[in-house]
Amino acid sequence: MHMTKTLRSALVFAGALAMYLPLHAQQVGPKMVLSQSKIVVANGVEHKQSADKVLPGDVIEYVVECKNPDTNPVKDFKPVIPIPAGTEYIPQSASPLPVMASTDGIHYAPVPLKKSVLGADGKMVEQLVPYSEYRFLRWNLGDLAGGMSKSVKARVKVKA
Amino acid sequence: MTSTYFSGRGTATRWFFFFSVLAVVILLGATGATAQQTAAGTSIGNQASATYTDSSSVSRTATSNVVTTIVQQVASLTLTANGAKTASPGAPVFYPHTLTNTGNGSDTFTLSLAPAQSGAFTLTATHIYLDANGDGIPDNFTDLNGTTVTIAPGAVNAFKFVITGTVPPSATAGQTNNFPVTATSVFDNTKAATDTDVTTATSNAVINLNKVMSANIGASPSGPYTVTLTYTNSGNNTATTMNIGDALPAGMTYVAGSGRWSVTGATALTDATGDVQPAAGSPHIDYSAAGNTVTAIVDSVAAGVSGQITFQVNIAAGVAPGVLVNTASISYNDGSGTTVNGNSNGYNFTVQQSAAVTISDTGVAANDNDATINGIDTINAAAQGSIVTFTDVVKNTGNGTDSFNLTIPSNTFPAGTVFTFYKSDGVTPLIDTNGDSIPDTGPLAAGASYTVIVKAGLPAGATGGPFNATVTATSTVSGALNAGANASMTDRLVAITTNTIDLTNNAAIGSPGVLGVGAGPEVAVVVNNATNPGTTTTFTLYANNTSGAGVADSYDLLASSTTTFGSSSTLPAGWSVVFRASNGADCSAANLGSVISNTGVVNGGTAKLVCAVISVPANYAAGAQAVYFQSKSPTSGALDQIHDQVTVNTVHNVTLTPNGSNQIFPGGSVVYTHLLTNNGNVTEAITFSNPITSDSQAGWSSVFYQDTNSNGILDAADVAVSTATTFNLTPGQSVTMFVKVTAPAGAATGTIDTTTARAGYNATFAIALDQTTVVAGELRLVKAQSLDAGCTGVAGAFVQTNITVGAVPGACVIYQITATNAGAANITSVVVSDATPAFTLYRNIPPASTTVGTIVAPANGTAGTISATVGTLTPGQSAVVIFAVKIQ
Repeated sequence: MHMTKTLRSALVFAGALAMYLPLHAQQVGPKMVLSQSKIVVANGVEHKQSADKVLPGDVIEYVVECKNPDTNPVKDFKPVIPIPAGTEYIPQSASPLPVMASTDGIHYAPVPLKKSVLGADGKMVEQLVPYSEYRFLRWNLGDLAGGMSKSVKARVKVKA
Repeated sequence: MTSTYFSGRGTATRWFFFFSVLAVVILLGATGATAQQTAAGTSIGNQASATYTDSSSVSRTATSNVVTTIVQQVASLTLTANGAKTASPGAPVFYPHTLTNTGNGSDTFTLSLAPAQSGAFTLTATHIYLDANGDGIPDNFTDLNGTTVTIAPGAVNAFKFVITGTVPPSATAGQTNNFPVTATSVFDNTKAATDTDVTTATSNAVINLNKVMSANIGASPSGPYTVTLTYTNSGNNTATTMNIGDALPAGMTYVAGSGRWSVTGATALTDATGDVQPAAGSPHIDYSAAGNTVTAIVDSVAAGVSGQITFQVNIAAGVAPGVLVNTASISYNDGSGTTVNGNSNGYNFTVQQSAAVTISDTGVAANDNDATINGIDTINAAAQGSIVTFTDVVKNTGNGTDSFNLTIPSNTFPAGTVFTFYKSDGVTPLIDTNGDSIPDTGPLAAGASYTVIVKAGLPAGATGGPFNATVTATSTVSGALNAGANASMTDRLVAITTNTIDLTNNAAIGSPGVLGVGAGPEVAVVVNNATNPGTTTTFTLYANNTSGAGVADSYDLLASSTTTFGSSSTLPAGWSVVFRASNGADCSAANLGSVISNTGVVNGGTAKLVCAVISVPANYAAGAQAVYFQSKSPTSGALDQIHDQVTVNTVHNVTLTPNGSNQIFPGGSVVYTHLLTNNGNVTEAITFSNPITSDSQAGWSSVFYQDTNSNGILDAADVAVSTATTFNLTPGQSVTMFVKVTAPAGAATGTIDTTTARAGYNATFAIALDQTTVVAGELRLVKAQSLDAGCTGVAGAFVQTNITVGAVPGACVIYQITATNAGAANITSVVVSDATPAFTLYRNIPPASTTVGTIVAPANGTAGTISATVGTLTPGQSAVVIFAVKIQ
């Protein structure tokens, strides 16, 4: 565990390279609209309700509509939905698939995440990372042509 | 490494122990985190982001709106614990209980001694009393039965109370009583919990063990605290072999040699086992401590006797905030040979959260250029107008989960710098998770670190350095020792490197043919384009971004006739400039692309081709006109100018127009009107030299006049020019000139004379040629008439003689007029007119007609003129006009 943490820290710093970009030169980027709704199941049927208020244990669905308003395409479009503090990612709720996940917002790997830990026998063993430790989901949607829209979604559960 | 672990048994054992401890700590941490319900009122905010690559292959980010949701309250509670005691008939019993709000918000609970007691006897004088210090003894005697208490969530805020009742004297040994107590949530009254305490009546010894500490709250680490265990035999027999055990909870450590007993007073009790104190007599005690477990064995406790055992404990370092529950156990022989087991009250000691935080640089050269962890995140250089990224690590050095607000209380960065906090990914903005509107790290477990990315958006044009920003992380956990603990570090930008731009002509820097390399504006003209007035000329410009690799910039384009530039191009009146992108590799007309005012992004080390198309107005004066071009970054303010020039060619062009042609009779004269115009771009001196005019035919004469009084008509005031005449004509100016041509009287018909008139300028002449033809025109008219007695419109034979018979009132006469060109030349503008004679009126049968041209006649039955517009009659051609009248 200790070794894993040190390694992760080193990678964090190596990854955070500064980029110098002129502020004004940005073209009109993709427009991203995030919406949330509470998923309620009544008589076996799912309903979406306002998520202004939730209870511990409630399920929230986040949907991000991404539209490229420019005429030029954008490439390597990778939207990210964070899993907020106080909530846990609900396995298999991300759409579309495949999706990548991260516990630190820097290192992404395909779901399910795995980690290597020192086993009782002194050897490194691979374990699944608990879904409750997922903090970010990221999709690679590739090209987003001018005027085109794509959406991604995922569900979380309020910690109870 | 692996072999080291197993090189010997001892080593392996130590490692195993090490991992076991680690596992415990991790489990505790994990349990603590997940067991905590999300608090009511918590705002769960979320903001999506995306990275993408734009059409310029530049990596960029986009962010969404923020959505939030508020967690609502749910009720939950626990009530501990079921108790069991023996008691003598007539004696009171006290049972301690702990009510914990395990919901996610503050709640009110109703306490009641319900449902009804059951068993062989019923306790009397039953009450619920407050026991805030958890010593198992009522704090006062205000009965809380049926009342409500308000409790915040969490074990730390647990409400402690005792319930009490008196065993009736009638109770007999061995009988039992069930004594329930219930707590019910007011927020949600379906949530309730009940404990039931069982009392057994006895006639033998009854020892009640009570535990208190000298404090019920403290930090980690802290101490020592004194633990007092009070035992009382309220029964009717002597208890023997009373064994009190106290296994201290994890986080609480025993202070060696601190044991004392009320019987032996200040004498320290040994921690060893098997040695009784005092060595002789009774009662005596065998007090021992093994690790954090204390054991005291008293040989005899007589009825009505009470005593105290005290020792000291410390709160260890690194204990998570929370409640340490400490319960001592007791067993004794009640005098009848029966061993009775029981427990003391559970004494709650609250370990307070102590907030502490550090914030530091990484010491990793990639994002901390001084490569040293020194409290300063150093970035050596950044481009103007760029975004500087600092990597700061916040560590929770407190003993509990905490969120840390991030602020920049002071900075010396250039005015206009915008600081933004991002999550570790450097893309997702750091948002507020605890409702104080200040971005924070979110909950960080004790000992955990979080990397915060601070981005400083530099204003355009700022230079210099170094610049420092103080970044402060502040604890937000409430109620902690050291609440608001904070730590600061410095984000330092050593220098803003100046962006540079070099504007060149004809080629990019490093390519063949490049001109104007280096800072401008150049003193000497770099490129001179010659062009005529009324045309355009194109300059080929290259905006070379010389800022260095990775520093992209863009540049606004302007032109000026001086080295002073405003917000728009300033060229001489009538001039204009249009900057155009090139669709190819040059500024040829075929490659001129869209009109631009900014180069767009030019990556460091590259150049952008721009075509500057300058329009020169017609008639613009000849000469050299300096044209300076400027490329200036609106982001960084980097600029360069280049000194180019447009030479407007000299154009000499004076015209005498138009050439004329006219007809003339022998001996007649004709006047031709001409405009003498300066179409060039320089003022011309107009001179006249002989021959001022000349005629192609002998005997003809011509005179050249100036329209001296400028009235457009040749009149007496106008003066004929001579070789002495001279005047200036400015560009675009015109004057009227006349050429008067006179034919000799004997000029033969058909003779054509060409008159040449000339005005001298710039060693040449403006010439007008006027062609004059001699004509001798002869038009013959013959009028004849025919009587139409019945007015049928049908003419008989036309005769030129008088009609003597039949021309009576009511009869009609038809006239025929024949116009014939008997000459050798055309006769132009022929109009044949006649009128209805007196005593007649126009008759429209037949209608008036002409064989050539058009005719106009009066209305039928009126008098008037008949007019035929014949136009030109060629030699020998005739026009016949016919009309009718009716005699009145």
